[in-house]
Amino acid sequence: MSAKKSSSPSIPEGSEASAPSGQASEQEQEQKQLSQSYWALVWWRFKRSKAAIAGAVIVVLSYFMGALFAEFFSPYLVNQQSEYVEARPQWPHFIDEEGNFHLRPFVYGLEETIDEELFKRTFEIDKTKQYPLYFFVRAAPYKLLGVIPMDIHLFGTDPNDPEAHAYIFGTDGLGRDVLSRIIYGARLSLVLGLAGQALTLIFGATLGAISGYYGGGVDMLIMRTTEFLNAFPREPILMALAAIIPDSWNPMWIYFGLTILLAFVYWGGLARQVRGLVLSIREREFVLAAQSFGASDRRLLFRHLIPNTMSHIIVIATTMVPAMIQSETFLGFLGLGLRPPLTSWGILMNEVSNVRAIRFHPWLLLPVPFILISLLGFNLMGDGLRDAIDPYSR
Amino acid sequence: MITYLIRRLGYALIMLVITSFVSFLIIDLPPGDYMDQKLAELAERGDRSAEQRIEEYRAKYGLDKPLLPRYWMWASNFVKGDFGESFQFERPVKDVLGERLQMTIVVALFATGVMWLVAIPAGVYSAVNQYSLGDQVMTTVAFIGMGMPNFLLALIILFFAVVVLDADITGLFSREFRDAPWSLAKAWDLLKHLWIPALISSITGSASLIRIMRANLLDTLGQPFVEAARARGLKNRTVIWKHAVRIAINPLVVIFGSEHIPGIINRNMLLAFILNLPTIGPVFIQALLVQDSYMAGTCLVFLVMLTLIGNLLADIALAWLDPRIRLE
Amino acid sequence: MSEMSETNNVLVEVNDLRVQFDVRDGIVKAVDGATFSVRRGQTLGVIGESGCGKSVTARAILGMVPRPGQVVGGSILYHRRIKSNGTEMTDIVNINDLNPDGETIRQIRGGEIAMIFQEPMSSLTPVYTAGTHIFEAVNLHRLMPIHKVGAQMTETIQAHREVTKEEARDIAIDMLHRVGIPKPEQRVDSYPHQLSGGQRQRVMIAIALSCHPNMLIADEPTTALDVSIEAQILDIMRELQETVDMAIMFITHDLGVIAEMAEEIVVMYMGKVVEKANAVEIFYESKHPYTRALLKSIPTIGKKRRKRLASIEGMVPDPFDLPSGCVFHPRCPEFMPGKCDQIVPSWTQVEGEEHWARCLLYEEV
Repeated sequence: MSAKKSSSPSIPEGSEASAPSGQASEQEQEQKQLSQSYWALVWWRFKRSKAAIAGAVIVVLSYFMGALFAEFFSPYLVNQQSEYVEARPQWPHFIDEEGNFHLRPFVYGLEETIDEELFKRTFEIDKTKQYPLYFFVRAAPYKLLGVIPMDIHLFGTDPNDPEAHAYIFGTDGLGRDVLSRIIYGARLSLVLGLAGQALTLIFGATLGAISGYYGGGVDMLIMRTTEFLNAFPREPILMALAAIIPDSWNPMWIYFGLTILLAFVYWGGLARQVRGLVLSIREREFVLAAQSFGASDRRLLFRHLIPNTMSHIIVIATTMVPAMIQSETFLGFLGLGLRPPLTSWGILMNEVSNVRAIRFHPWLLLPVPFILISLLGFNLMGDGLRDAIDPYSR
Repeated sequence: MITYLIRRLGYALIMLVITSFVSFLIIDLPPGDYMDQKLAELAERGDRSAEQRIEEYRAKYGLDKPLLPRYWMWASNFVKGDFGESFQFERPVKDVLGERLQMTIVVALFATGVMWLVAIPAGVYSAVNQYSLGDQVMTTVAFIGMGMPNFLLALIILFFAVVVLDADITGLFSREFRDAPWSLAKAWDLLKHLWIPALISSITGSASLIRIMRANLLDTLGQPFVEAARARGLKNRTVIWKHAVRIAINPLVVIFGSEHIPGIINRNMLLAFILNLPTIGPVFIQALLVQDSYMAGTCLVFLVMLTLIGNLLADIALAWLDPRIRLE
Repeated sequence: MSEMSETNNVLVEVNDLRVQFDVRDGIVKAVDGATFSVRRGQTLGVIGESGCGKSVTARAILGMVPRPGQVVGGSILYHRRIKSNGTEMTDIVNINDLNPDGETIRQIRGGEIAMIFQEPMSSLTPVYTAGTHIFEAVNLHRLMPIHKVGAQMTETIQAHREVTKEEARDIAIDMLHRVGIPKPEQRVDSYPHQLSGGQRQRVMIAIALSCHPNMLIADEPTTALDVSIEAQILDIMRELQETVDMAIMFITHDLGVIAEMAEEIVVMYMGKVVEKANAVEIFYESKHPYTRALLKSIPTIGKKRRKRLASIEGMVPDPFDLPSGCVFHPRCPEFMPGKCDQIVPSWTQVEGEEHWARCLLYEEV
């Protein structure tokens, strides 16, 4: 996309008014900013896009709540089973049946019924029981960040009432709170996304840089390999490779295996892009530098190459994280990749992998909006980063 | 031109051979094989002679032999048109796939057709009326649609269809029509079921098409020849469609070849799996999950073949559409 | 001015044209008072620096001012000759009043007033051959007369039909031949990327002329070409003009080219027409200080070697911060303090009937 039109004089010279988002009017500000460091400038441009900020907020919140302090934000523990199996969601209310307003939100209780048609136990909402919600309550104990023993949760029912229960999003087949599992699930999924991306980055960026820098036979070899890998359809290959990971492995090993698998599938695209970046930089600065300083140390050049391409690589990496999260979700949905007793969004999705589940326990679909929002957050943030780093790239 | 074709086809052939081997290898890698599962199944049912029967099966399918001879046997039969036998169905792979081929193509054609019929005019409208309300709405919707994985969107729509509308959406035909001969009523029944997969795949698919069409067309509209065409007195519609879109659409043709042709099997695979549509996708997924080696291997090879053919067709189409590009 | 039109064969009259662009930073007055006329068969040259509004003016004549520009004042009167019931009439059409996508303006565009552009490289649609371009234009604008003999032998009724494909191809080959393209029977099937820059511009001229327009607007047609090719193109344009009696509005920033081509010259600065006269008077008796400065800045061979090249002092002003009074005053060697920075000069007749300028030197204030 050209930044300036070459000859059609649609707008007289001297007015640069091509950008729709008001960039022209902020040109003065931009000129004042020029003396600031590159990253400060990037941050300033990033801030201008509300969408990008929103995306960043979503991402940060997701990691904060899910990855770091999941135990605190969840009313129940991730594997805390109960007798209330496949219970409907207990939505919080402020106004009760008689029209009274309560400052403190409450939920209606559950009662066990027998579904005549299906011969199953189900749990329906029982409006005769009311359980108020309290904040910063004591409930099941856990270790914050794996170290600090605590038992305070953001919200929950009265700790003194053993009958009280509040499954805001309902429960699953083992009576576990869906909301808690969504929050815990974020931890594995989001961290896997980051870890997978980090590994992909190391592997892909290095090979791409080598390929672009040295050219010749090495370049051909690496590029042919990526082309070959690209001919395989992504999802079937993910499935086939994920199936290789044995069930019997320790969950942590499965996690590592999955990370490596994701890196293996995704490195090609990253390598190709990094190669392109390196090639374009090589044409410019490398020649000049080499000519003016004589023979340069290769390591010194890598110290020039990497910082110059770093910003673009970061953008590419950020936009690839959602793909990783999606892949894990996809695999988990099919029962591949991470398996119980771990909890990830993919594993949660596995519980709605058939139409019956959707029909009879639709609340098990509630992880979906959370997944979508976190993906959207990454996309918005990635787009904003891309514009901030290189406003002409669109 | 002929030399180019021959070279591409030769390259494709080599790729096919290598990928078929690698596919076979990958499918075979997980510990154990299909028979272990079957054994567990039979044992559960209390079948005492299970072990012996499993050994018979193993011998029959050559699962007791090492990888290379098995691959060789399969591959050499493959080129003769015998794709091996499916463990799950206990029927030749060719038959199972053949039965599902027709519906696979029907669903793919319908879904892809809807996608393009929606996306192209939407993208053109968006570019021509840049910054209008319609454009902003479409850009936002496209952005959201692009970030959404296909199967999650499918689940949401399924939710609405099943819980809210209480529709019967599994399969492609209602019970009465399933084995009935073709008729207008059956076709209508098919359409009633087709709208869900078509809707789902067109939302996510057209999102990126709309964005690309819009971007390309905006670039093209800024070029001098568009203004020159208008200066010759052509109608606005003619200028936009016959001159601008005619150029701007070329990259999309490439997308069609490289993504939508392999997408005949690939796209909507998961969706078809959930809905249990009689297409190739669900069978492929199931085969991968249970290590039905010959079935999975065959499907994978066909997918790669479609990818290669699709790319080739896309390149040829591009050269045909744009005289500036000449195949080397 | 309009009284002269009937007697003097005026084709297009531009009266006090104003075109504005509404952009984020404010309003840019791209054209702010342009007045001139083009007569049948005559070549009018429009000269000025980049950004002076000459291209916008040209597009306004065809109703093609690009977004976000808008015509906000003045008129563009086009004297159309139409045959109605066998009699010739002159219909005066104000281009500014026409619907920009309506049928009238589309008939005029290409069929009666044609335009060729600066970049032959990208002014032809890459996927259509030269022949296809001509075919498209001819199909749109040319109808073949059918001669029918009526009841009385001397009477002929004229009817029209569309051009056939073979006829269009013949016309195309003929036109390509006339603009000097060798082997036109082969070149008619060439794509733009197979032609050189000069050939492409010839093709553009051929397309323009294939519909027998009354006027050709040439917006810097040779700026992107080599000097030698430029000379050839200018030759062709002059030849063809004589053959078909077509008016040309030639826009350029090159004084040398305008001296070769134009009979009458219009000088523009910052959206205003600052001087208008016939070519001889512009070159030898220019009145406006800007014109004089332009002429002085032409380097000449033979002058003393040590002398510096003359240039116009100062810079083109910021369109959002225009100088008060006469727009040229900060750079004007004849600046009169108290006058030129306070009063906006109006369009005055300077000498004779046809020499006009916009300068306080010639105005009674």
